[in-house]
Amino acid sequence: MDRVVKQARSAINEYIRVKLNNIPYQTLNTEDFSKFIAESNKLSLKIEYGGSMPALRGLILLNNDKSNSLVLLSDENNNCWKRFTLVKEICHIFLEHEHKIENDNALKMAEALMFHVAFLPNFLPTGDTSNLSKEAEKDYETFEALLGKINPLGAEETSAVVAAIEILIPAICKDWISKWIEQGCHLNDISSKLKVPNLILEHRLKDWGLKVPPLK
Amino acid sequence: MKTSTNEFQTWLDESIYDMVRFYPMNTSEYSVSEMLNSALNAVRGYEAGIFDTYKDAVETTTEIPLFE
Repeated sequence: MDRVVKQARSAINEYIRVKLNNIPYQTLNTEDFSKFIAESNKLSLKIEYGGSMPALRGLILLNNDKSNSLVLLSDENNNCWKRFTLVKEICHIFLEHEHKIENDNALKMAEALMFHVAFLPNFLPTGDTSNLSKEAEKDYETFEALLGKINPLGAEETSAVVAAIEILIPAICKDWISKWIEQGCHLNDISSKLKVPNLILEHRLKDWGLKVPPLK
Repeated sequence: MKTSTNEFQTWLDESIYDMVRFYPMNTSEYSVSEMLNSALNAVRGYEAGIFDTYKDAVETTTEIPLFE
C-alpha cells in the first residue's frame, strides 16, 4: 500500500478509536478531525475563512517546532471545497516525509507547485488535463515514477491531496457507493452525502475502477 | 497584479511561522507571483481581522446512507 495512504489510514484509525468508539465513519466533521490531529501533535490550531486570495483555495502556516498552526481558507470555495481544503492542509501536519525537506522559502514552494501542476495538473486536482505533457501521459499509470520526477515540494502537495481523499472518501464507503451507482444514482447524489467536491469524488471513483455516473 | 514575492517572504520571516503550504485554486490560470500575492493578501486580511472562524456544519455519521 502507498506510504501516504498508510499514514492517512493510520490517522483515520486513531480518530475512530479515540473519538468514535471504534465505529468507522461515513461522513466526517472536518473541523473536529482537524482539531484532533492538531491536539495529537501538541499543536495549537486556528482555522479561519474569508479574505481575498483568488489564486489559492487555502494555505497552512506552521512552526518548525510544531507549536502553532493557522489554516486560512478562501471564501471562494463552496462548503465542500472548504472541507476538502482544510483536510488537505491538515494532512501536512502528520505526513512524515515532509519534515525531511527544507521548506521555509515561500517562493521555492510556489515555484515547485507551478512546475508540479504543469506536469501533472489533475492531481491537485484542477480537473484540467489539457496541459498534461506527452511524457506525463506516457507515465501516467506509474504514479511513483511520476512522483520521482517532480520537485519534492510539489510532490508533497500531491501527497496531501491523496491523503485528504483517503480521509474524506474512506475505503469503507466503496461498497455502498458501488451499489448506488448500480442503482442509477448521479455523481451529485453521492457527493452530497459525503459533502465532498464532485471533482474529488470523480477522481476517487476512477481510482477505485468504478464507473463515474453523470451529474444530474 | 503587483508581484510581492519578497513581501510575503518578509512577512513569513517576521511572523511566528516558519513553513507555508499552498493549495492553488487553478494554477493554469495563475502565476507564481499571483499565488504569493494571494498568500500575502490572506495573511494581511487575517491580521486585519476580516476572516471568520471556520465551523464545519457537517456532522460525523457512522451509518451507511440510504439511496433515496
